[in-house]
Amino acid sequence: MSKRFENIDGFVRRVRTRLNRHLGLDILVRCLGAAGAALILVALSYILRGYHVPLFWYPVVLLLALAGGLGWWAVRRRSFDQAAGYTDEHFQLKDAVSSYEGFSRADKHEGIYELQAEHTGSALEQVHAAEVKYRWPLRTALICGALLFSSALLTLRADSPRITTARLQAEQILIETEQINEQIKDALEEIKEEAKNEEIEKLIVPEQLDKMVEELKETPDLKDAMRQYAKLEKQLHKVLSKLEQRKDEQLYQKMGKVLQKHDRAKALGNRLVKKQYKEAAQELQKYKIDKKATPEEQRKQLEKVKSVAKHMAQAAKQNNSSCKAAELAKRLDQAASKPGQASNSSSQGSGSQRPKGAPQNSQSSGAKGSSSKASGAKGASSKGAASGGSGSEGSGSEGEGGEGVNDSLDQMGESLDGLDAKCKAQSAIQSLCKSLSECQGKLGNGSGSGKGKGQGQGDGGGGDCDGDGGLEPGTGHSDRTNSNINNASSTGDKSVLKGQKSQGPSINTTESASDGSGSSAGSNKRLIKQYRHQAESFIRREDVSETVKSGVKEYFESIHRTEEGD
Amino acid sequence: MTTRTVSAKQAIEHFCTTFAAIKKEISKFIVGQEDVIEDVLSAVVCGGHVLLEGVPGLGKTALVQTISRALHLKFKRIQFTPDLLPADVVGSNILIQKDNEKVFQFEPGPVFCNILLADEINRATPKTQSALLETMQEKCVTVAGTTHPLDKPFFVLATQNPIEQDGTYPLPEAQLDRFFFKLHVEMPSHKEFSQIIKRTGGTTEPEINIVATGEDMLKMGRIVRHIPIDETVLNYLVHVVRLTHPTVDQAPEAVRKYVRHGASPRAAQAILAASRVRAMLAGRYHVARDDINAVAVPAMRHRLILSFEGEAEGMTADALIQEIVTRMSVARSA
Repeated sequence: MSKRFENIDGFVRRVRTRLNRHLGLDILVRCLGAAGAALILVALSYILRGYHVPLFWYPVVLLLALAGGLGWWAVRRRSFDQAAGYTDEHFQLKDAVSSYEGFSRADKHEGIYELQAEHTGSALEQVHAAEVKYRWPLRTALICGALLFSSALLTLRADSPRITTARLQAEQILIETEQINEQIKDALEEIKEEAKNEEIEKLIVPEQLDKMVEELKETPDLKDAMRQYAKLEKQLHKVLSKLEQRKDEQLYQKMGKVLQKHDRAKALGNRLVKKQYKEAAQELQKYKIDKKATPEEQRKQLEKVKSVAKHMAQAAKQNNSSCKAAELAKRLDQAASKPGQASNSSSQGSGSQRPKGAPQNSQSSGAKGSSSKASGAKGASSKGAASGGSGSEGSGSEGEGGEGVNDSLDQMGESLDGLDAKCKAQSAIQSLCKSLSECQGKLGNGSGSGKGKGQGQGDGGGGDCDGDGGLEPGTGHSDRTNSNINNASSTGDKSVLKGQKSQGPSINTTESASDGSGSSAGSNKRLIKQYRHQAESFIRREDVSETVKSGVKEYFESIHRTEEGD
Repeated sequence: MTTRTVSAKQAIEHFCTTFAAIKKEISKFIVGQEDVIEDVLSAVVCGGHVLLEGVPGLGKTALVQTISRALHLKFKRIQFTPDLLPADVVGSNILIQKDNEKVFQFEPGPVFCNILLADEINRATPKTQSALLETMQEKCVTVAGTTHPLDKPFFVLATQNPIEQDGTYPLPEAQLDRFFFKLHVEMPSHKEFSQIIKRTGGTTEPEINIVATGEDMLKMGRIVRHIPIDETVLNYLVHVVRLTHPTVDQAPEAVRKYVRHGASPRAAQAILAASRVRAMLAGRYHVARDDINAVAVPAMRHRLILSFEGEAEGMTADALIQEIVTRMSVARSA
């Protein structure tokens, strides 16, 4: 009897195994179909955007489908009772197996239950579990196969020309950004080399620039690249603005022009005009009064200094500027014309104005000057000035006055040295800015058609601005010269665009109008408003260099001020 | 094989043999109507009452008479008419002279028998019909405060004519529910028709032998109750019965629309008992869902009370029960 029970259970187990296997096959076919459909959707989503379908989707989707199928199978697989029910149904046993299993679970085996088990066992002996056969879902399988085949076909499609171009461009941009970053790093090193001056280091803060350059990354994204370069450029412009010494330069240039006219100071004048400040500082050393020289020679030297100082002071006065150069020129003039007083004033003034590294002897000389004040330095100087000066008393005061002149000359020399260093640092930063702008322009041009040359190269130093720029592609031409710009800055006429030396955009174009007479009845306010909007939107663009932005901004502000003035 | 198993096997064999012998004996006289004969015998074995419905002349009365002859049981017939009184059915106390005294003595009515044929039961008044209620359910009669038990076994086989409705009193639901089966006696086929004529048109009638006794019937009834039913099959049975109720959520739309009241638990009891008989007759020792499906219609058709819409649209209880059974079978296959 127990053998028969085992037979019934074994039969049901065999049926269950077969049923679960069949269910697994069914689910597998359906999962493959679902995977095929999903792959087609994925492929279409790529193809419609112009991309080649990445092959990694195939194993991913298939694995997901199989995992889902496995889960489904685990949920749906037949239990023992279900298998018993199926056995009854399939072999038409009229619930014999189900009832037998139910009675067995209730531990009912005797009497009529035993008869029932016998009956069920004998019924099962006449059938075989292998009769439970799998019927292949041909239609579903065909559909699944078609879906998978179609999805496989879609992988053969290559990228669209547009995407290929974009990809190449991205690769190009990546390489270019890599190169640009290297260039910027080298340029920064150069700047740091040039700016090995405590004062300049304080201004440019190399660590900050280092950090920014370190943050630069190689990217295939044009906008990202432009954004990071624009950010760096903005920072560089801030540094540039700190290094601003235009007024000093202008004044020294003017002084140079004046000095060029005089034979005694022609060499110094030439250096100043040519902006060779270091050489000019060395030249200034020649004007120092030699203490070991005879009083006569000292007087001559003083006369020479006096003449130079006078011309310089005149130039400063004409320029009506309150820059450091003007102050130094004035001080030199005072020191040369009233050596004793100048020395005092120099010593007094040097406390606040002397650079840190300046020698301290001027102060001691000042002290000396003040001590000699009572003993007739003033008188001696006036005497000396009136009669040409003679005697040990006069020579003594001249000697002390010569100290003051020498101090002033030293200060001016130091100022010129500093100016020279600043100029070099500025030049290096400007060249970095220029190369950054060029890189941005190159990236912008390389990145695609339709974008205008976003920024132009304003050659402020040269005068003409070969400005490719503006909102629309094209070339602009500015007839404005640097002299005008400089005049504008000196006269304060902001309606004239101030260009940046050697660098910067041009936003001015010359528009020729046909000759004719007539008057405009309409107001230009609407037009200006429209231009302002365009300009503002232009300014907001991240891929526009800071130079161009500031130029445009300044231009419209100057217009606004002019209107208000009117 | 244990003793219990052997005795169970013997009892079942006795059941099957006796049932087959009775059926065979009845079939000597009754031509065709095999399903009706089997169902009537199933009901009788299970101790239930049967309501036979059919047009006159189809052999309803003859069937009942033949069964009584084959079973060697006391048979009585009441022809129900509108003027029939309850006392005419159950009996009454009559005044008699006994030992020079006049005393009331209970005179048993025709219900005191083993097989009662209540012919055209729907022609009697409800009062008289109700007189049968106690006898059918309790199998006893109470007259003047005295309860008189009926003989065992006791079966009521009632007939009614479905087409002639004038002057009839439809049976109340309470009484209908007491019938185990309601069977439709159908018109015989051409072949059966000619066979009937041949058998009854001659000079001799077939002789009906006694093949079982009342004791056999009781014994058969006892073994029926031993046939087991699995829990899942029992649940199926309960589902089938419950789905006849319009208030049950899973009930078919037609049931919700056309049924006023569904089948009672007594219907489920009848179905289970009849299914057991069917299982044994099929040589099985357990009840199958197919057995339930087979007996669901005769066991529930008279227990379903159709709504006004159901009556108006000519909906039948048979169709509704068949729909439920089909639905359950489909659900089982799925």
